[in-house]
Amino acid sequence: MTGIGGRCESLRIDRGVGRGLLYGGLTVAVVLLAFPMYWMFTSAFQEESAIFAYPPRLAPFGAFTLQPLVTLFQQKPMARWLVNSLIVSVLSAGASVLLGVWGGYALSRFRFRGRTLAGFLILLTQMLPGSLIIIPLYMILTDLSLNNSLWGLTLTYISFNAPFSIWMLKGFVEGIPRDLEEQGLIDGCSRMGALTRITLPLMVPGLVATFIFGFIAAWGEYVFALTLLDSASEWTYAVGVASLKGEYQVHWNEIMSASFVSTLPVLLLFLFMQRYLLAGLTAGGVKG
Amino acid sequence: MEPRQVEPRTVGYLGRRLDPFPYGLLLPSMAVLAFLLLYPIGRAVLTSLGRTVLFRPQANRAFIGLGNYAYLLTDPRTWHSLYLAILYSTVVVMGSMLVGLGTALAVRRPFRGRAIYRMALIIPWVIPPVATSLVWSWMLDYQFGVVNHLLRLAGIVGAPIGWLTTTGWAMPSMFLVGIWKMYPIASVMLLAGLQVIPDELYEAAKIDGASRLGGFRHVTLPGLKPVYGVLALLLTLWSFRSFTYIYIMTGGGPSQATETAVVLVYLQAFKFYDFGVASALGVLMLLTLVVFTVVYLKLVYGGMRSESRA
Repeated sequence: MTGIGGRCESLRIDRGVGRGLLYGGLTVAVVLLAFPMYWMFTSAFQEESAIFAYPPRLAPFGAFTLQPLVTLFQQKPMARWLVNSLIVSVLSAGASVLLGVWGGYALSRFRFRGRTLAGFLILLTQMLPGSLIIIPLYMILTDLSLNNSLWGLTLTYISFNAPFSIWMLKGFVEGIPRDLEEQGLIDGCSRMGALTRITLPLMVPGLVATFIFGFIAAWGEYVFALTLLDSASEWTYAVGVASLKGEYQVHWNEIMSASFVSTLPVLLLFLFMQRYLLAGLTAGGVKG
Repeated sequence: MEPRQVEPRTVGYLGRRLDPFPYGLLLPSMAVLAFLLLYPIGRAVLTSLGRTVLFRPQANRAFIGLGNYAYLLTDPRTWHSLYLAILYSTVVVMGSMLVGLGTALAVRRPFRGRAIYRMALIIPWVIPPVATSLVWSWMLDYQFGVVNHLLRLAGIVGAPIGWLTTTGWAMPSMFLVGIWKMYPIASVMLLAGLQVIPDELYEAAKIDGASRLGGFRHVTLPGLKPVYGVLALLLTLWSFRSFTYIYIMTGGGPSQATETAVVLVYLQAFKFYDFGVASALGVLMLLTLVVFTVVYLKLVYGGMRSESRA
């Protein structure tokens, strides 16, 4: 399907054929690429007997049931896991946005000694193999009595998300004209005041996008939550759901319904905030 | 504070008062990075120079020199894991950039229903990693998986394939999931890059007698260079340390067929409880990526201009 669209728009004579190819190719691509999402949803609300029926039914919507989810909520601390994930994700995303505003503003508006070093540090965080710092991080958090705690995990996520937030918000600050701030400074704003009262309100789309990115990253994170949280009551939802597969008998309908529940909030966030997210993602990248 | 011009100007150099403002703004994030990323790296390096095996404290020593590294470099398992990590990132980066480019080209121009296609194409990126791993485990299941069912229905294979349970198929399955998860981000960034290429360039190429393929080669690809330069680097860094999908779907098996370097670090630490060896392998991975990044930036951007994109 590579290049179908690119070729199509220059096809003036056989436009109908090009159009057909475009829709046909795209539909095949979408069906292939979106199938796992469909299959997750389809398998999530089936009786176990329907799941293991042979041959598998591709559209078994007839026997829709919430039973797998009900069973899970009765047998596992699902609600607790969801609340834990929500707390950690909201706190860490919020804090990362704050750090990102300050850091991104400093890096885009000022030239100062150490700027390159700060930039390199941010890039370095993208190279770190997570498992390299799990062990020392576990030791450090234990020293602070923050092991097996959602606070320790929140701190960890802030340290992962903040660099990305800085990078993304730096791109947004660059898109805001400097004149407005200068006007504010002349009118007697402090520099912090100019940032908070003049630049910040103009950055709302960027703030929303950065927050959602942080939220999605924290909501889905697995390795650190798995290692830093010992007791099942402190687990995040991701760890809880993954633990379902480890059991001796695998109930795929339950696992898929739990997976669907973990997908739903981020999917909704994405669908409603799509415009902001795409703008945010490309703010830093395209200027390159 | 007195009103001052907020301009990109050099502060802190000779003859100028050091302006504390940008430092103050960066202080909180740098403090967090220093304490939760740099300090742990330092401790990991120290750990890698000693013997730390949980449950055998009597044999532990704070400093044994480069013993862990010597052990790792002579162990074929290390080389195998590094090979798999490089193979995995190469295939996943190239695959997701190709699929990303194809989908980006397809939805570049407005057409009826474009918004829906665009949205559907990005969905894999939104699904959380654990859910992704679980749904693919289920789809690739040997006995009840829908993939085997469809392939047999279409007559492509006769007997079901053990996608996750045979050494030959496990790694290609990881490629598939990795590309599926990563192409949307490539697609979004490439699409943004395509949209800033001016139409006049295509017109000019056409007037010069370039074919459509020529236009693609001489206008599209060079125009996208700033985007795929950054994109390839980021995708490589991400995929090289990709852990969750492999760990949940195969756990590194069967018989080490998908045991990439990150997975091996995790197993060394939390299965064999050998923190010294695990840290040493982590340090080796970090060094690999730092060297790769420096060389890459030098080759692609010709020297020290990396600052402008950090």
